[in-house]
Amino acid sequence: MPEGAAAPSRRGAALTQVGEALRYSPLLVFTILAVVVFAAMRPGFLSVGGFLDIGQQVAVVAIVAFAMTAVIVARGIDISVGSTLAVSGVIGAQLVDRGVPAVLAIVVTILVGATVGLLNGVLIGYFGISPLMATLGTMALGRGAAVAWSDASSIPVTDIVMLYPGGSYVGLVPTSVIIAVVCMAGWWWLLRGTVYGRWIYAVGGNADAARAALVPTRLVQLSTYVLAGAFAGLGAVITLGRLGSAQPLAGNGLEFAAITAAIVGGTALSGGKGTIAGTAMGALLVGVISAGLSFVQAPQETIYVVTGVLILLAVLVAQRDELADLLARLRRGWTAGAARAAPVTRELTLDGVGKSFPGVRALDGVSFSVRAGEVVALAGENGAGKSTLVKVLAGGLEPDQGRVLLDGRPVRLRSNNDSQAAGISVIHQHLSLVPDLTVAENLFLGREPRAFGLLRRGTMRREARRVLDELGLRLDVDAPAAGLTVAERQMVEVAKAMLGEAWLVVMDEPTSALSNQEREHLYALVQRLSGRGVAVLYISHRMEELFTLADRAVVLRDGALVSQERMADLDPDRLITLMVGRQIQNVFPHVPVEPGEVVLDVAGLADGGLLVDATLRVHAGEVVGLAGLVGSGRSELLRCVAGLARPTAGSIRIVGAESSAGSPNAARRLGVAYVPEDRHHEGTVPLMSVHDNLVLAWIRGRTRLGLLRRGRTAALAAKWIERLAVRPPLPGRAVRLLSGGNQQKVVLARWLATEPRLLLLDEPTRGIDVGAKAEIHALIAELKQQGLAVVLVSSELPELLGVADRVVVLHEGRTTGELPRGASEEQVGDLAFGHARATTVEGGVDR
Amino acid sequence: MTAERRRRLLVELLPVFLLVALFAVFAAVESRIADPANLRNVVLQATPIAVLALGAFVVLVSGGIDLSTGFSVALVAVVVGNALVADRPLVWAAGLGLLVAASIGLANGVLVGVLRLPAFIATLGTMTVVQGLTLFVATSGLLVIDDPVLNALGRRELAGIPVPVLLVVAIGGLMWVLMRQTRFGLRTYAIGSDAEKAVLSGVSPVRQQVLLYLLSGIFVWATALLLIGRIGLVQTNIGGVSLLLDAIAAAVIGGTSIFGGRGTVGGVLVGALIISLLTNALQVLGVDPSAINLYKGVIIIGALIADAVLRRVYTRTLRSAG
Repeated sequence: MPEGAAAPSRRGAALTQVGEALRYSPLLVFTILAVVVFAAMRPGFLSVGGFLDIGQQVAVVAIVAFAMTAVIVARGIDISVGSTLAVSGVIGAQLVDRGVPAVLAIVVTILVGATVGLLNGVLIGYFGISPLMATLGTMALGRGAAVAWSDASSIPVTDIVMLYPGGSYVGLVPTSVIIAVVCMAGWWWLLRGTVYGRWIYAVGGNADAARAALVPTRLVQLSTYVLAGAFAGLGAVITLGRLGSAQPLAGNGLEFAAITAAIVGGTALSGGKGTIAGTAMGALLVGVISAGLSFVQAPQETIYVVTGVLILLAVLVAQRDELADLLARLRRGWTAGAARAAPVTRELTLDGVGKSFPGVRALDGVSFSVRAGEVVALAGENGAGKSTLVKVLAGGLEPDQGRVLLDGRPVRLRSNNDSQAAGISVIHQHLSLVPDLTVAENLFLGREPRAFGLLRRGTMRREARRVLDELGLRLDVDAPAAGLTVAERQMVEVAKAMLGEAWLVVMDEPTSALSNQEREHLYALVQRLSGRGVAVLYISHRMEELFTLADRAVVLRDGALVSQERMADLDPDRLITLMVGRQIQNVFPHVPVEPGEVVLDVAGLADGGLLVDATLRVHAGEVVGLAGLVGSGRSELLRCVAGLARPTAGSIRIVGAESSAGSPNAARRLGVAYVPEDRHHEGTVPLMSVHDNLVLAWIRGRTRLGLLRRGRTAALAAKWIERLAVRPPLPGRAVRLLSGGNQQKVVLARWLATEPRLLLLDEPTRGIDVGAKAEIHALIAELKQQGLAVVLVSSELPELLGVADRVVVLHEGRTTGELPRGASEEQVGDLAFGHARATTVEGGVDR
Repeated sequence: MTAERRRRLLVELLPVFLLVALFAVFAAVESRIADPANLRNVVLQATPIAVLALGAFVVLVSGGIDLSTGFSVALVAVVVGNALVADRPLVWAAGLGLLVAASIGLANGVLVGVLRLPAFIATLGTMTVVQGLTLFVATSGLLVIDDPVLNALGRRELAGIPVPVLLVVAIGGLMWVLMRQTRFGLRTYAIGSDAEKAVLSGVSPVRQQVLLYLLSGIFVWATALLLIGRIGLVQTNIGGVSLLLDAIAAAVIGGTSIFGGRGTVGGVLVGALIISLLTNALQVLGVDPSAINLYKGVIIIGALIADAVLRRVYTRTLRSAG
């Protein structure tokens, strides 16, 4: 029932539009205020003529600001528009001067602008030069050209047709205002109603994810600059008409006016966010102020000061959420005081701790304690309150109920520093190392040793080496953190906790990104820590490691503590039952299906890097597991098939057709769908809605003339939201507000919506909770029955063995073997390690 | 590791190669450019750019940008010039200038650090205000300054080396110590590289940013004094957008990342030399003054492309090696 499903989303859209309108209300108030002030100074300002004058002045700023909005939304900036306007105006005027027909001259003027824009686009899109720098260069270039080619003097224009767009009236309204309104409508439609518009937002919101979702990112970026240039050219034509001449210094400061209009109107410089309506309001405000100031004949210095102050004020008001946040921070800052307690036997106790968010009781009367030297597993599904609890311990959130006791005395953890002073160190899921600093610098960031104001770099290096040695880590202390593997970064985090003399280390999903070998290393580290009397609060979705490492488990469900038991008294099935609150049986639903034709046939594939010689064959109705250590070329193989990487040797045939290399869209046409490994990096566009994320890959090639048909896409989104049980089932909700499991479902749905024949899944269940995992496993089984060919990469061997019909193993970029269903972890391990003996992982719930 | 370090060194030396290559090309085209007297000029003209670029560098490393510096140089120069023309002692005049420059820097720091405005838009706002203030205080068109101390700063020589060059070397050395050997520098790189993660390590971005923009203001002051000393004339168009662009271009061509976290003092100084050499070569070649910006634009874009291509080659070798 597409209509029924689409209705709530339409109502939602209407609501967001009302919300948007309210958001701009301070702008409107400012604008009206400005008009009132000017009118009080000079009554003539409110006359019809006054308004028209404003309109004419606003028109050029607005026309350029709309294009600027697209540029900024796509995460760029163009400060060359003013110069572009000048140079295209000069050329246009000279053409008319030499007898070229005015209509042709107008077209050429706009084309000259587009050409400058093209130069910007090539520099930014293809050479990867930062937008600010590139357009700074063309800004100098354009201004120089305008001055040089006009001999630094103005070029008068008398041709009526040439002057028409900027110098005439239709009835009482200036033609330029009509042009601006038409531009506004056009841009509004382009950004909201077309595939191209969605692409602009996707590129700005997450360029890597956009590329993986079939968006031609470079072309989109490039085109925004071409459009910005072209509209600067149109601005030049209007300016010609207004002034009756081309000025080499025309458009001076236009770039700032246009950027200000866009930003004041709510466009975010960080990309992915902004609306044409907002920019129109912003342009109106900026235009009213500058027109008003010149109308009341204010001296130039007043104009500068007033404009500057108003820009700042308007931006401040537009950011009032941040201001409220700031006030809250200040209040907290004034009442802050460090709580230090003398260490005896350290013990942290939570006593009835609770925390509510609007509509959710995230933590509800949780009581337990952790003593020095023990390893406590914190178990629970996503959304059970684990993250909230971690934030409380890290000092990021203050509970609104209950107490936190350190060694029996109440403490308040109101900031990171409070938490550190209490000896608590949290190792976050998203690690906290600063990429450009070295290992040693990172270890000491925040507590740098100094002598006479200078860093003691020698001490930093020595101490860093000492603590790394102590933890058994061999790392170069002068290497930048950006070059470390995830595992190494994790180890450095632990070392950092040690240096801070933490007695309680909280590890949030530390192994979710590690290979088996690296995991072993971390387990040894945890044991060493607890041997040194450090307490570890350990969060993981992997049953095997909880049972290997922990002494005790604390289980949360729906914000409440459900159980606290010794690991020895628990078994994995019972722990899962406690976490989920219901029995989850038959964790891997496997249904045998008779395989059909060959869908994917990879032979001798190499990519010039990790992948050396991979061979893989997958049939319809079959799930093939791809096993191997991290760096064995598993992900690279999938990326080559998906068209995201270019093979250097070998062949890929999909349903018999040779796959052309290096084009995600060509791969999609052959029926390939790829769910990437890292959903933050290549998966979701966090600022975009569930609906927009879901249809992002589908809209390429399935729309007529690039027009979005909201009814069809809404129905499609509703269908997949229901089919994959995305929670909450709101298509208009921004994806960043969803839990990890639901974000992953959205990425999966995006690809299933393209109706693929071959589904490539790279770690589809990493870091998501037990319930969502089971749902994804069931979905894979269902898709297989429908005849889909599936390739699954997973670092969790039990999952791989449980879900796949066959397992193909890679070692150092080569296919080393294939195992039928029912193979053991040891067999896979033997192949994955090449000739080395496999390390066995003990325990394991799923076998 | 050593191979990686060698590669890193290579990237850091890219600006030097660019300077040498540009010089070779210009010298081949026109021998007068390689004339020692002219080269001395190139170095002298590079000094104000270098000082302002060092200020821009600190802000860029922190992930911000300060667009107000160009016009602030003009404001400070006019304030100092006014005081000197009114027969105030130099200490009084320079102190007043420092107060003005530091206030602008502090205002930027509060807007960006405390009120969390995007640096681009905040400093754009202050830039506009500063332009207005400059016109307010500039009551007479042209001020002729003849102060012995400032003259010495701008035009004297010490042991055959021009004082401004010595000054730049000294400031550069101080900046190297500040950025590489102090907590302030380390934390500046940290918040520019990844502010969120720096906060997790206990770095306060608020304090850091306020200090940063304050420092940027102090560099504005130094640039203004140097310019007055070198030229001896103060006008409202001293500094302005062209000096700002030169300074930012020098920092970026010298390897400072516009996205923060990366850059070196040496690179910035070399960048300032590149910009100065470009301007000078175009003048010597007899390019029409009105067209200088055109050619400068072409060459800056060319340099950016060369830089981008070299960086791409570098990352490719890095990837295939790793």
